[in-house]
Amino acid sequence: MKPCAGLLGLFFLLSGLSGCGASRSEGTPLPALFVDQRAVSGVDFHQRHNKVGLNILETLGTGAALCDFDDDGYLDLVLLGENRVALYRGDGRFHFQDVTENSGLRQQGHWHGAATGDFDGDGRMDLYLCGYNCSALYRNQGAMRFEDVTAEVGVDVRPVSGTQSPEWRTSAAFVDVDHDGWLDLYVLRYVDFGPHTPQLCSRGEVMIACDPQTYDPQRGTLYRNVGGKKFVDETAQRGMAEASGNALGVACADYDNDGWTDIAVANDERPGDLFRNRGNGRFEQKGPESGTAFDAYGFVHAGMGIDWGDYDRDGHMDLFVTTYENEVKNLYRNLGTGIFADMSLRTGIAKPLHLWVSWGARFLDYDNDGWLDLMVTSGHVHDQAKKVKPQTDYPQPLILFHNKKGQTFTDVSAQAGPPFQQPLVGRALCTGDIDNDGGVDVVITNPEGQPLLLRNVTPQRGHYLAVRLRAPGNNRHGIGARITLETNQGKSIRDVQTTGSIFCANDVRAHFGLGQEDKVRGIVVRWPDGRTERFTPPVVDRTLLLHYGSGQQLTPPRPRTS
Amino acid sequence: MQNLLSRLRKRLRPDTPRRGWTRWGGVCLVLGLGLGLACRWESTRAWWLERVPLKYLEALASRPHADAWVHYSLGRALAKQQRHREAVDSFGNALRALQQKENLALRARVDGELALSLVALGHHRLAVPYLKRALELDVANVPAHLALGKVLAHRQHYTVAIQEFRVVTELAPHDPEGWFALGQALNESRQPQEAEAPLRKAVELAPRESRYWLALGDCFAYRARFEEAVECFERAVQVDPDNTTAQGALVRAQSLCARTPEDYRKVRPALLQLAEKEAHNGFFQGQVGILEAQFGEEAEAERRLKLALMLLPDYPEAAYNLAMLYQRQGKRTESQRWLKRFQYLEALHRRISSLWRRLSLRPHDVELNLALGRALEEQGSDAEAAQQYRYLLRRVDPKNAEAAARLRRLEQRGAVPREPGKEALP
Repeated sequence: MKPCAGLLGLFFLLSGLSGCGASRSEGTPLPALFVDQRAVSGVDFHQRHNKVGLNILETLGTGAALCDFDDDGYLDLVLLGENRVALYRGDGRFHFQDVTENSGLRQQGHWHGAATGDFDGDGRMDLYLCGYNCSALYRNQGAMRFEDVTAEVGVDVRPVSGTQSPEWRTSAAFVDVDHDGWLDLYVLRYVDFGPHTPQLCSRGEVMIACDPQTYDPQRGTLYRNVGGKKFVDETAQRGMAEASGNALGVACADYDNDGWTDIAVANDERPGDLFRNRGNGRFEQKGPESGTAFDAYGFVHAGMGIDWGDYDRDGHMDLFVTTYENEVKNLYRNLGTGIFADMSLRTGIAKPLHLWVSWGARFLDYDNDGWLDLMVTSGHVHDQAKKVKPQTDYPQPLILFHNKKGQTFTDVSAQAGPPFQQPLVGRALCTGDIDNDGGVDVVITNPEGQPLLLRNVTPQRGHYLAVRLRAPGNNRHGIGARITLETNQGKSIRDVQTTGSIFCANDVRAHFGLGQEDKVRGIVVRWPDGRTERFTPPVVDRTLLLHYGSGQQLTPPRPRTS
Repeated sequence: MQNLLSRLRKRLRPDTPRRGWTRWGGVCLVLGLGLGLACRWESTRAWWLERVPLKYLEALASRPHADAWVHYSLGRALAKQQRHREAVDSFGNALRALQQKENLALRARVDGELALSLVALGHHRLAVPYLKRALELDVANVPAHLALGKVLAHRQHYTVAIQEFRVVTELAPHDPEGWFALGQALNESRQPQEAEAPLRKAVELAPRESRYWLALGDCFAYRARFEEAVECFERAVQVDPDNTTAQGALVRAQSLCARTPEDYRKVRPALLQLAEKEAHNGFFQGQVGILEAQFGEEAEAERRLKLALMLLPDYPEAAYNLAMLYQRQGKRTESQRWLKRFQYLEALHRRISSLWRRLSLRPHDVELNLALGRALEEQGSDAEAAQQYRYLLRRVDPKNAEAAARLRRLEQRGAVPREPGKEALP
């Protein structure tokens, strides 16, 4: 009897304690983690489809770019839409000034994706935009002015002839595949859709967009940058002709730690691509044998958004892929042997996302505790989703996961603030520290309303360190470099990239959360040319600019191969 | 009693005044009762026949002059016991008996039930003329609506199939089969959230039906609610311990619930015990193999997956997991071999699925129809391939030489039975 009584007492005690907790949390709401600053930011980019029954082109949505184009230290913003492109200059206080008018950016086109990188080696970030039957490469001339060099450098879409469908470019990535110092361009394509292909399909009495399997796939193109003046199609020569097609999202990182940037592509209803860089810019398809082309059981999924991040801090880049409703959103853990294991169910990511059509997703350490968290935006493709399925809807919730020391992810959307309680038709999700306060902020595009500009206001954030690189030669932002940060708690890695998510270009700075650590033992940078250097930053909570050659050299650059 | 008779006699006595209308009233009453009984004879008989045990029905039906009602009732009783082949024979006998006597109501019933049994046997196209006739005779014929829904679902026209099943649930709200079919179609059309309510209704009406619990479990599993799925699959196994599909589903759901190796260690002995019992079930072996691989029991995983692929050579999940297992072990050649096999199966499956989608938009495209037939043949689905060629020859291009030749080859090979004409759906 005594143990029973004791257990009962303990039960009541625990019940009482939990009751206290509940009433306290009901009384005083927890402070939000993110607030939407769009209304006070000066950004006015309202989009809406004024029709019912959208075709596949209209369902896809549009992208954005966060990049410091004028090199003033503050992130600027590009928003894309249908026959609309807007450029906003940021002042670092979440205020944006519309500078589209004299920017030289073309409006006409059904724009989807953006990519940023300095293709001509002048030190300024250039901009590439792509969409349905449209493509534009802009050379940054400084002071927020751009020159359209698309046709000149050879990255324009091919002219449409006969019953041929136009090119449908969705996303792009600037990546120096052969480490010649010039950023190459990989452009994704989606499906053959045109006036001669089916526009809508019936679902009972409702006409909705046909699914991608109705159309033939289009495949991506790898353009090699020849001296910053010309781009040459080298898709087949570089081993990338084996792409599955139906591509939507792209993310670049060195997943096998061999010093060469690899490319992962999320494909809609086709196996995902993982192009491993074999060295000197030649690729091999590793999707199926690495375990990232399919889900854990070998089923194809509708890959949309994609991002790399070392969520478990084991020194290997892991991969996250968003998918369609009722499909597992796959978190592939890199086992370090070229093989990945799907951890979606084990880590708790699968359940909260299972019902949603998820698009943009980024690993980000919102609370600076040193562990990469995850934000995922969703929204149905069908505007009449509710008519087809009464229990679903066109707008869907935005979800934030908190990483518990690389073991599990907890859905913290309920505490994350009002934007997480209001469903939206989310598409691109781009990240960057807009206000330079050490918290990663987020921009989310919405084809049926205004975008979200989420300011990170997480209370009691940990210490942080943001790192910018200044490399020699033409790739001055050091895209493709690997930064390893060492603290007493262990190591964290980031690759310097602007890719990840879907239709997005992200902040090029590498952001590290440090938790309670206010000292860093060292930062090791492996530059794109292979040289590794060690830096010892004196303080934390700031953005560091690391110059090539100013640190302690650990290994020399790798010898150039022809 | 005597008193009662004498009082009746007095009442009917002719010399008594005001007695004439009473006598005629009595006569009318007797006549009315007789006429009423005669009119309701069919349904009264049907009601009784439904309650006759199967063995007596079989005896009644074996008599040379057994009528259509007896055959029909026997067919229904057999269908209830899932003995559809014999049920089809009985319904056929009922139809033959009906040729001598015109009874449209009964004919509609027999046609509907026959269509349903044919669908249960997988002869979807054979069922069409019967269900069409049943619906022409009686628009509220529940079995015909159910059969039509199943044919449509089989052809992956889920939206219309779901509409049909909704009609069934409105016409017969106490029939669990309609709710089950509706839930299953919703599950198959990737709407598991909506499937939950009808499937709950089905298990409420028939809690001893293993299939219903299985479908409800699937609807939870599709939504990653694996704990609830496990409960349902457990009920399915409890109700029907020999249901290997339910056992496989239970294993899979338990595995998906297992978040850590410790969780898995708890469920492992039961799994292995089941796996030994189901030594010839390739699917089950594959599921166990996949689980073992996921939790690092590589030797056991390899054994199970190999066994699964021996029993079911076209099992893509097992091939994929075996390839991944070899990959982890550094056995590159073996890994490549199984990966190639998996990629072939997966690509074929994807091609077929894409062709189905395109055909739904362009059903009269000869090339698409032919391509689908060829792909189905390549997959080894000879019956479906034959159906495809027949459809092409009857509805699209009657002179298509390739389709005719391929169909002939399939029939000569004995891969598919020769089939009477294919009818369009009502």
